[in-house]
Amino acid sequence: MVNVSDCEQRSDQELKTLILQDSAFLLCLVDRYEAKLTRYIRRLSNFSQEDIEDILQEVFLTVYQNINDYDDRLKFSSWIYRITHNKVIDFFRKHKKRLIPIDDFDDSLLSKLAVDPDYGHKIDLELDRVKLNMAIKQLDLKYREVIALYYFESKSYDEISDILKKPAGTVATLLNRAKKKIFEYYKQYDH
Amino acid sequence: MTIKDTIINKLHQSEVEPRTKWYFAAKNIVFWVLFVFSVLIGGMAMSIVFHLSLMNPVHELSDVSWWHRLIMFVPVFWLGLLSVFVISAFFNVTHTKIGYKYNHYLIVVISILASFVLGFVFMLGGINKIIEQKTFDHVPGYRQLQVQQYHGWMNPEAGRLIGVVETRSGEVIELRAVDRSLWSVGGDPAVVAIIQPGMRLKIFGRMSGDHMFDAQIISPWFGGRMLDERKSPLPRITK
Repeated sequence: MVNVSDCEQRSDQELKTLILQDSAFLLCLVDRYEAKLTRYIRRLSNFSQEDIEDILQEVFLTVYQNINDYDDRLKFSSWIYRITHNKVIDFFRKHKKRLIPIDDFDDSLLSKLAVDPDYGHKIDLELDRVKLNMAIKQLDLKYREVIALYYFESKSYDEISDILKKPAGTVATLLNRAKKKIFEYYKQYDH
Repeated sequence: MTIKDTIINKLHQSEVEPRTKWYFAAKNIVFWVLFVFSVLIGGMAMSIVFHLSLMNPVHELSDVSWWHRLIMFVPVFWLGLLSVFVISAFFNVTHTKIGYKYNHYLIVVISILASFVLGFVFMLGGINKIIEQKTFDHVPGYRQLQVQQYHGWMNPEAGRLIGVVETRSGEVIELRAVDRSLWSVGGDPAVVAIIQPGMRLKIFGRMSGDHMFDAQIISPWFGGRMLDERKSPLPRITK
């Protein structure tokens, strides 16, 4: 059985090699990514905890099954987020569920948006936390996921491009449009 | 039961096994091969578009409405095929491992440009005429489409017949015109002698009776060159 200490010192790339020798090392990836991916799914969808666990099981089993498909030029985290993204979309299509987020976005994300130079006015986070959260939640999935990945998961344009399989330029455009929509919503309800 | 437990169970039951590197390499190669294939077919379609546009008989007429000219001039079938294979090239390249990184418009523009260049090469090689003829002979619906498309060119009273040769006997050919009528056409024996059933012809001349026609100039449907080199260049015929 793999111990926690076997995992902690290993990079994702090392774990990939080890998984091919011993499938138990997959559990290291579960330890490393379960919480992050759970939060990511909750920010994209209103799936129940059970649904999310089902999706995550599929994600990790797909990682194992497709481990030879992982391209070292990519960050491993980008690859596993991509698989998660695809599973969320599959689950949504299969169950015809609405992809509205269940979690509020935390202050770290909101504070970045509140000081964004694209919005000319100062946003008082203390007063406007609820309004900003509502603004993000009303976004379409394509905008919400870039906002979540950029601000909350702190991914770069290139990483988001690898996760969503879209050109980096398209990611930049989506992000700008998403911010514009948030600020429009914010202004609309500011009066 | 936690996620870990479920995963351990599935792994122990060997329900899931890693796929081999070859599986993914083959998948990637298939998408690239299909991309190249799509561009090649697109190039072929483009070469026929060039051929049909440059050699289009509509250039020889001045008494046809702009609407009929447009119908005759636009090679819908080949443009449709070109579009399908540009979309196919786009789909395949974006499904390769690195294809998603490229700007989508750029992929479409490059696919069209590649088809354009290949089309030009194929046209120089003359492959386009062979493919177009084979399509006319064997692809269901294409013959019908082309016949419909060139209705506007046909005008026996103005001295123009267009259609497909059914039979030849002696110095007379039986021509099934695009309006489905059957015409007996007589012409220069030297020219008529080289005409074969199945050929698509456009004929300039005059009506000599009920569904009878005296040909002055017999030409291929596409292409301005006359079969009989002794004749002078095609005249411009107006009503």
